[in-house]
Amino acid sequence: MKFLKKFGGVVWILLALLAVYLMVQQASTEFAASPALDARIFWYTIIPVFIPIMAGLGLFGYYCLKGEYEH
Amino acid sequence: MTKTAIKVFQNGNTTKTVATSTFSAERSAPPKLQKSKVSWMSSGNFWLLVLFVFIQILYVTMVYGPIAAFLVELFPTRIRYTSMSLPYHIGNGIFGGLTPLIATRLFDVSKTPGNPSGDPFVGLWYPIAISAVCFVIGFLYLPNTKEAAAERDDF
Repeated sequence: MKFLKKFGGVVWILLALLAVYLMVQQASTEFAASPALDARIFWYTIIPVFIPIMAGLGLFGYYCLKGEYEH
Repeated sequence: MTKTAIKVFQNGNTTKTVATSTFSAERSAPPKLQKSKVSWMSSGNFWLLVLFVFIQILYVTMVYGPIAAFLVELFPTRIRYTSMSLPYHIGNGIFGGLTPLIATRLFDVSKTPGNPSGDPFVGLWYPIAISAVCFVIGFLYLPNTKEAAAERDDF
């Protein structure tokens, strides 16, 4: 179980980085494809909200690797 | 001039569309058009939907009972208020509040030249993904709160 928790820590960090990368990449693709306001409103809402949440997920993964959740 | 169209679908649901065109005395002015649409379900579908919603609310209430005691035992008194309040509001406000926006966006993205009407259920993937992550984290990392609180000697 300990190994699974530490392995999970790596997974959460990678998931957080991947999520941020995919969000920014998708946003820049859509901005370049069309100047429509709909896509901009959506990504201007999602990116500032979800980047801190993904930072929190990465932090959670870091503490999992450190073994803070061993009981 | 009023046009009324009533459509009855195979599953018994009915849609009534009323279109009213108001013509002005000036022939050059375009007519003012007003449309209203009312949909209602067949009796059988309606009560089936009531049953499904009732069952889901039953699950929610089964969770809401013990979760208060479970959550307060997770953290020591010193940080309990912040540790309960912040995730609760982030969960309800951000994840719950942005669900319609994200689900609508996913539905919009699912419309392709091969499938112009889109997939009406694609928006469900968002709450499914969040719930799956919460399930894995809860399964792996949440302690038996009674033993953990007893170890801390802090209830």
